[in-house]
Amino acid sequence: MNMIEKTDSQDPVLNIEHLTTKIKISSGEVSVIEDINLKLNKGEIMVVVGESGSGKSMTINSIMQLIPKKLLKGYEGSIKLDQSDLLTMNDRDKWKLRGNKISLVTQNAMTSLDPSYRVGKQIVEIILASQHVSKADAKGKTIDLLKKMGIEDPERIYQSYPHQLSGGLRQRVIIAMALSCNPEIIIADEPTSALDPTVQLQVLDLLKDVNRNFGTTILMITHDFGVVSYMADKVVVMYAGQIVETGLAKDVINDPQHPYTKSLLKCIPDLKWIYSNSNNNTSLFNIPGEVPDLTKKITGCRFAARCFKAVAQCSQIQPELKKVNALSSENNMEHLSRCIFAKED
Amino acid sequence: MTKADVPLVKVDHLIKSFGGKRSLFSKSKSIHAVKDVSLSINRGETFGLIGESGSGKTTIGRMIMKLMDPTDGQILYDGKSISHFSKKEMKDYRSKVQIIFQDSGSAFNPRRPIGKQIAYPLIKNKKYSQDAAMKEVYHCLEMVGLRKDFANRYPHQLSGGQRQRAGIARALVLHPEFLVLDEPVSALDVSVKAQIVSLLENLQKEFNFTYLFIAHNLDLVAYFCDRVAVMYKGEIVEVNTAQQIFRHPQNKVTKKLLGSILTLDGSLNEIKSEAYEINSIN
Repeated sequence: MNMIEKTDSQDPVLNIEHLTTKIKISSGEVSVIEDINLKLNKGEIMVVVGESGSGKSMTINSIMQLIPKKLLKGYEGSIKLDQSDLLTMNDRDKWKLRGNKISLVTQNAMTSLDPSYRVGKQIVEIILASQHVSKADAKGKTIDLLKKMGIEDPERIYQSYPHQLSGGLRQRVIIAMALSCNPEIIIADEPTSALDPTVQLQVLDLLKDVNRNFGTTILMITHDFGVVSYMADKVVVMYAGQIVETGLAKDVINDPQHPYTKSLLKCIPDLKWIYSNSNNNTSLFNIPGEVPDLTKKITGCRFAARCFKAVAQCSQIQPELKKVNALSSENNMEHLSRCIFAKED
Repeated sequence: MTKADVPLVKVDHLIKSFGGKRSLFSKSKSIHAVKDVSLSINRGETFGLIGESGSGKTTIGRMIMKLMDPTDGQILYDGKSISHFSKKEMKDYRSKVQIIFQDSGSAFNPRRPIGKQIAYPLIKNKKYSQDAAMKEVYHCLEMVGLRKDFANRYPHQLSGGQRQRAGIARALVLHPEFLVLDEPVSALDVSVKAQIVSLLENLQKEFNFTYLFIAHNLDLVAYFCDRVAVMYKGEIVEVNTAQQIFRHPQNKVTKKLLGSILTLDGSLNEIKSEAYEINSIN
């Protein structure tokens, strides 16, 4: 993997502290994410991983402030972007931040592009709205951006409608759009889940290039540990609205501490048998059950009911995130796990 | 054992093209979705079909299901051409061959409870009584790991994994022999993927099903399939056992596809060189 030297001495670009997001439901309220702490330094790629219902998307929606007011009960904690708190900011200032400092790449490109306008025009519109440039300059910039996204004939793509483009091209256009105002952070919500493996690899490579060439910080969501291993500097594993394990990607993958992380890793088929002389006699690991319903109160560890290691104690005590013995000590990133069995530092 | 020698499904020089209609003044451009594809699937095996999107995988699956008619060529099921089936034979074929879609959510009617939808072919096709049909439905739901009371739920009340299980239950209800799995796990979480693949595996062991597994999750194909065909632009470029395809890919399309597998230990090629080192030491 290509790891780039990253300085960690500076202040984090995005600093989320004790974030809890509460949503209204018919019987009161429910915390969809609870006590989330994340620190993203400049130029890093952080990947959030977990099943559906684990709170990954809610974390991103909280950062982007995209939860509809009708649903939202309230936030606790803080989301600091370059020292200014997004949660206490007024709408006008938030507008200025979105796109310019922080922008979003969604899973389904079709929903973020307007089907009735040419894609080039949609990017130009964004540039004109946020920067003081002439129309011609904006067009030049758009074509330049498209070229940087690895699109061979940017002029033709500029003139195309979204439905005329393939899934991979559409995702490139979306990334170009996200980059159009030179944001510091790109947030990508499963940017490749809907794509073919070959196209997925191209898009991931593009995001890596963006990270390297523009120094853009990336916060990405996925449920595929293959993607984590390919992309991430740091990884955050979420389960039922809580962070259950976090650390440097290589630490978490090579030495997972939380049973949930271990289980997720085991769900990926092991391909080593192909290159040995034996037959495939491995069987696929299953995590029994499903992500718990957060509207019902859970005492103790939220993963206990599905855990292969659970003991009686697990369903009584709510475990805290504890520091565990990290494999690599080169970085100041701690390796944390929310399990009573985690080996302590 | 003559029956075992005949492949269950044999696809012979299959061609499917779309468009090409002649109007008064012009002829529209025709697109060849499937160009001269031949393959045979043996009883009890899992046959994988991989390739990029648009390579014609799903079109082949649909033609085998007779949801589409081929432009040319034929499909033999148990030695008989499906395009020349009589009405009665066709009815029989419809219950022997079932399909599981990528998104079972859109394959269910949102306005009816899933139990009724699963029971429908039994009542309509096999003339079961309502009670006998529901009994069979409960049995099928149990087989796929869903509780009885799921029969009364509507599709939107189920999670993605549960919907996929319900989709499998619906395919099982007519006791099929051959199942076309059209990207059955692509839309699911990693953990749910593993659950569904294990379920399909167990069902195969129990009922000796034959599967055509259309997928682009190559790691699951490597795990699940006995033989694999690689498609590119409507043609099959390589067919071999799964182990051979993944170990010694011959075609450059296959090589490119394999290169895109993301594993925990870096790319597949890295594992490969590592594994060869271990083998050469031993």
